[in-house]
Amino acid sequence: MARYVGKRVLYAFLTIVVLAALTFFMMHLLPGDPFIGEKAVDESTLEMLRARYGLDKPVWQQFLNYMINVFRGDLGVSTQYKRPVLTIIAESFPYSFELGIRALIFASVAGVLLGILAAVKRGTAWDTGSMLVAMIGVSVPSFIVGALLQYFLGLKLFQWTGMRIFPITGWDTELSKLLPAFALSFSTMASLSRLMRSSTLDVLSSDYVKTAKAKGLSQGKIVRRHVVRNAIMPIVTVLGPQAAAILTGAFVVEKIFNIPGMGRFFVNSINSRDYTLIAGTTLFYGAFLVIANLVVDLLYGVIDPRIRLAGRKE
Amino acid sequence: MKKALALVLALTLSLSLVACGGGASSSAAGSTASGTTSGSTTAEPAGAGLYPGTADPEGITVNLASEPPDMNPLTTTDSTSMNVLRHIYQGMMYLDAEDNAVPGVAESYEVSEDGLTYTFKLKEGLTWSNGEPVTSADFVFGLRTFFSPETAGDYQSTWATLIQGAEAAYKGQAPVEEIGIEAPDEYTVVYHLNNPAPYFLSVLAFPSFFPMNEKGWNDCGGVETYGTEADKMVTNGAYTISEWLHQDHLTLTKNDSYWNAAEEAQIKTITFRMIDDTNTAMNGFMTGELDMIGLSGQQKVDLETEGAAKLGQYLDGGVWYFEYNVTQPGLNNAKVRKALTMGIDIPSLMENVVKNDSVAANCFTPPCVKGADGETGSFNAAAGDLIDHSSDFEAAKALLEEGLAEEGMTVDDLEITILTDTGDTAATQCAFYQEQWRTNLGIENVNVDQQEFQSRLDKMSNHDFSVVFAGWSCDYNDPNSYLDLWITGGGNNHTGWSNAEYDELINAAAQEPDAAAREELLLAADKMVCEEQPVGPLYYRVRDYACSDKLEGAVRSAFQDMNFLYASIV
Repeated sequence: MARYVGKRVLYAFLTIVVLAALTFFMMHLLPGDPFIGEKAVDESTLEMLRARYGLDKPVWQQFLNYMINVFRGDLGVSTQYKRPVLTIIAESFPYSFELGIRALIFASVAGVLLGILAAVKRGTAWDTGSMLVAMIGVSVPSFIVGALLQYFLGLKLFQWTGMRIFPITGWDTELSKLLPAFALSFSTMASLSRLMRSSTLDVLSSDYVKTAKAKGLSQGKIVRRHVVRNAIMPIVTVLGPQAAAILTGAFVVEKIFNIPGMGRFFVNSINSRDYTLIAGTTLFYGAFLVIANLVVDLLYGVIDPRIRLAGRKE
Repeated sequence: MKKALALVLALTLSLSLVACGGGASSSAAGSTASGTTSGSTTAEPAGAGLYPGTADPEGITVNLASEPPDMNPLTTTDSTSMNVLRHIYQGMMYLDAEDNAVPGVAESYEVSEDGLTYTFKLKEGLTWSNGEPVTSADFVFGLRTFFSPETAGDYQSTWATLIQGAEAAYKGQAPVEEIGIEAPDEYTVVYHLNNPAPYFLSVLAFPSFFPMNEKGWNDCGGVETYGTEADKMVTNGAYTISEWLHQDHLTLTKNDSYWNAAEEAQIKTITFRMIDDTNTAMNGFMTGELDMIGLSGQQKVDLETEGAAKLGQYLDGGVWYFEYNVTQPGLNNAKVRKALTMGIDIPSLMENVVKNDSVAANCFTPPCVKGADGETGSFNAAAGDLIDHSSDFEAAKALLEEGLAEEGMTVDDLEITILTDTGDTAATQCAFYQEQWRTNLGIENVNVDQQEFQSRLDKMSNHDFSVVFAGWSCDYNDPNSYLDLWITGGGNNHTGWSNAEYDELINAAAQEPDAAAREELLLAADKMVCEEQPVGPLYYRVRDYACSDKLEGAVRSAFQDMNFLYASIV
């Protein structure tokens, strides 16, 4: 097990280094320059700026310097905002993280429950209803859900009742966090519920469930004791990537509800060729994704005794 | 194992309850729309009372639309940052509600006969937010820092044309102490100019020329970090910056020791929100979270139809045009370029694409600029109708064919690629131009090349385009700010057009001390642009905005995109 963990950690580390290198060289291949704008700037000014941010050196040298600094815990200074990239991430990521966690918790709980419901009540209106919700969730992107929620629950509800229940923007009160979190969770919830439904159906038709039925166990007990625990494995598998996607992919929802999260810095940095911010945010998101996957892989062993035992035999 | 799973499930459930439940007690963040009309004014629209605005009786919340990118006055270049800076700093001069430069820190001033020396007496007793007095040394330190090579500001080359010795200084060829500014005593500042610039007083209201407290500058980390956080600025304006949550909001509080606090800055707090999504901003305005928002063409139409909001509009200084690559076959002929400009149906463009009251361009310089007489729009009026936007497509087609024949070409030989930004607005506009040229002029080979901003600039510098749809906004209130774009080798001249006569006109205007004679030279230059058309001016952009019922007197113009110094709450 320790060897397995060690190997996985090493791979994760290598992935992050390769990611940093690829990002670094690819962003320097993009046409343009962080200091050139619509208005023409004198060449001497540009040279001074490039020297200040170390952009006057060859790209490979810039990369080496960058990696050395990264290992020292310094992600450099954003050329656009002149603030340390680490500060920008430290200030903005907590918003994205909280939004993501709220969305993820809601998505997994609601998704699992809907999936079980649909499977157990297969062929009934419950099944059709919950799978309809899932179908809508999978096909309607979060920015549409977000915009609709904002329009009806934020604007129209206010106009009808005169009470400001859900604010349009902001991230302070519990109510202000509800709509964005829901908008972000909707499609994940939908795909999780579909996954849960099919894996529950698989388990329901397995021999041990038949045996349990034959023993005379109640339906509820079978589902709780035997079905859920076995059916939830595929959910755990996708939860890692889903968590990373939700935590890092909130850009559009953050834009619609004007949440000062990290997504906008990430996207805007590319348009303004803010090299340090592009590299810093990509590296951060990348590391986050890799670590999320690693954690899930390791969690397998904890949740499923079969994997743990297989690992031991090795 | 069983227990562990049960625990996990219980935990998830409880967390989700926290996430989805709570908060009923803390609803509405302490701001509920009153629903009643606050005092009516003469300009009250029909359904007044629908948009009472934010609940705070002493403060306003307006949409700045994005994070201010650079709040260091000495390096800033963008109107968003300047919208904040003009409230928290004050230069020697500042702009009144009609864009006239009036004394700010200056008490009085004298201009020498040749227009090259400006002597200012400063108001005494003004202080910085760190308690230090505002003196002539702050102006000298500010300008020297601005022109120091280490500062590396985008505007150095622009203003170096004005100040004596500045060009050598910012290029590192001479010490910065030699630039044309001196402080004979604690409250006197003298500027020495390269040439008489009648717009110099209004330039002094521009952030590059703001005073800078040396101790404050060093305490805040100098050029590396000055202006990056609320506590990294030392200010001297009508407001102080009290809070800055990046990408979210920025709050200004009235500075009670501001010299004109009795007359100006009647609003106690101004909160700038950074909402970049126009639909979100609109929803925020309609629910009373915002007191002022910018409007898209369609939003303006919607609000106008409804008739309940206070709407305003202003020329934002932007002139939008086709920049032609005159090195390309066909486009090297002025008749062809003129015909292409004529081939666009401007009224239809306004009605169907731009969807607001933007004005068809009659010359290159928009009417928001002051003429020699100091009247806004007089230069534009004097220039007259230099561009044919009469939608006479027969004439345009004839001119196109004539020009192409001179080059030994036909319409079928003409290939045009319109280079523009990504984004829906640019796409719609360019699709419109493509269609117009096809139907009105019979040009079949028109392509649209949408490039992301930096790539577009790259292609423009490399002359890799035939037509760019682009715009320009001025730096200062003078026609020269538009016309000097097209001089030979100018950094913003991507057309490849070069005309010695034109260069001479711009040069002569710069040297001319007499305002009226100078205006004649600039009028001749504008006329030449419109005859030769390295660029084909299409329209002057108008921006629309809406204010809540409580906000009165906000100034918006080409030179002060947002100014609340003269605004009040009604």
